Amino acid sequence: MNLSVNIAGVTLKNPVMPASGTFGNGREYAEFVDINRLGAVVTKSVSIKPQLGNPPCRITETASGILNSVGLQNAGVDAFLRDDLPFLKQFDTRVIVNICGHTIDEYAAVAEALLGTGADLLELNISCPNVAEGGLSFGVDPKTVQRVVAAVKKRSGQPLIVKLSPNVTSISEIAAAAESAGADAISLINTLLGMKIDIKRRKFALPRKVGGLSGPAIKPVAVRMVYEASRAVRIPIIGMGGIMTGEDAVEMMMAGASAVAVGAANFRKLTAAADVLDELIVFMNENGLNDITELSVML
Amino acid sequence: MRAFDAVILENAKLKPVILSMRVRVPQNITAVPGQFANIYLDRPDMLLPRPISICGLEGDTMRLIYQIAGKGTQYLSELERGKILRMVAPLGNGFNISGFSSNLADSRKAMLIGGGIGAPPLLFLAKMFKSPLAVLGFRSASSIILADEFLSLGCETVVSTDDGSLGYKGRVMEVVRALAPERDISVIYACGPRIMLGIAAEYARDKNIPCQVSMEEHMACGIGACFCCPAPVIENSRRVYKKVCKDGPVFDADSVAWEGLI
Repeated sequence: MNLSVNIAGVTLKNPVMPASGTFGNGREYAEFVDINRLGAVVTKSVSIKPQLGNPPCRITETASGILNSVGLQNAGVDAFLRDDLPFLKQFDTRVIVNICGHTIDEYAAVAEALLGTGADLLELNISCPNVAEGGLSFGVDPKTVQRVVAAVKKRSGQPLIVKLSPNVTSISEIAAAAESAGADAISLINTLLGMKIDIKRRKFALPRKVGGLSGPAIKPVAVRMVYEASRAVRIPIIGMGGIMTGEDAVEMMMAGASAVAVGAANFRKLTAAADVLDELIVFMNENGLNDITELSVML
Repeated sequence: MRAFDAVILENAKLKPVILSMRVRVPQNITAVPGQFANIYLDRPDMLLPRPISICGLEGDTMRLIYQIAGKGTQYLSELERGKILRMVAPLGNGFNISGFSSNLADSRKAMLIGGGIGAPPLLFLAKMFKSPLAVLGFRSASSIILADEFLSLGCETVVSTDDGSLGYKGRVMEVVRALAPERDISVIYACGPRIMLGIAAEYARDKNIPCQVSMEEHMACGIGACFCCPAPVIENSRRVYKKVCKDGPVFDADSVAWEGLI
């Protein structure tokens, strides 16, 4: 059985990876999951300088979902290169480094700092809803998407995945803009903007009022957007949003994704990413599939 | 920290909204007071594990006392003996007792300050000391838990209620201020509402007594990966967010950036 997929010229031995931000930089999960089994590890967002993150509360549960407001807390790219990348490189898996910034120049600077390191691919986070500057604001306007993607492409060495926000009117337009500016792949969806009010305390559940919704509640939105994006671009798509099982992964791949990322499910079960892979293999066996890429033409 | 299946041995109501659960865990699971366990609900509608402080661990029996605070703990409260729970434990950084406990030559006492549902991990901690002073505050007589168990462990146990329906009337820290001058306290451990922890920290600083507090925050992964449970801490004179689940839940009271927290 062939499980390997090609994302922007990089071969992943299988299409399953954790979604950025739900898996740390692998160290904590490595106690529970065999990292070698994953097609890739996607790091938490890395910025040029350390980022404090948002004040508590940062997470709240909703029906079949979670609403987060972490705010990209991370120790900065220097600490990442010193402490985290060498750890991840021990494993037989691809390392996808998710990068973020407040300005186009900051994005490009992180990409440049990762030049010539062991990072196999970069994932550009222009879709985080939880920071005041940067993040989502870069991902909702096609022209801005083109500017940031082009700027990062100019200074980066590795193939670039652009992670798209679902908080847009036309995902096709944004996907096409990313492709036209040189994106080598796209990933979607990041979280949906959401809000929760604690009616007993008469307060917003999150101090920033809004947060990013993820989990199975958003899966139909993700499947629809992956499908639409796949009609708009030729570059590969990494599909994510509410994948809890192997069958969810199959659905996402039928919709047009070449690979899938498992996010909120990691909180529900620490082995979720590896479990999704196991279940994907069961599905292929039961359906007589020999090659994972057959899924993309099954619809 | 390990992932395992546990069997519910008992899930009994101590109060209408507080339950004492005993689960059978693998033999080689160990825990330090102040550490917690994550209980996975395995439901499609509630994704996050429920972090519950460990109230005791004897052999293969772990005791977890929890309050019904929402749908998840409501669901837990309805589970019956024999049900298998997926768990990860022990998690987090517990109370530091080395240097403070079992020093028989030291006549000074450890003081455990508990507020409401903060009392259970202190019961586990009380076992590590020779007759510590336990000061436990509750809303009213009807919400008092575990006071008898602290007593039977040999703790000097003082109970207060906000409404005066049993024990001293007033907030637990008012009782501490009234009582403690008569005692020679070597260390303070506190678990309870944030405001109580802040006052305990201030008190300990004034009296120059080492103090550790167990912080609480909404969590997701529970293992230190997701940064969802920040605790503001002063490190190298800078305010940073540490992880309650991994760096805590127990912190040195002096390290916590209380300003704006309470």
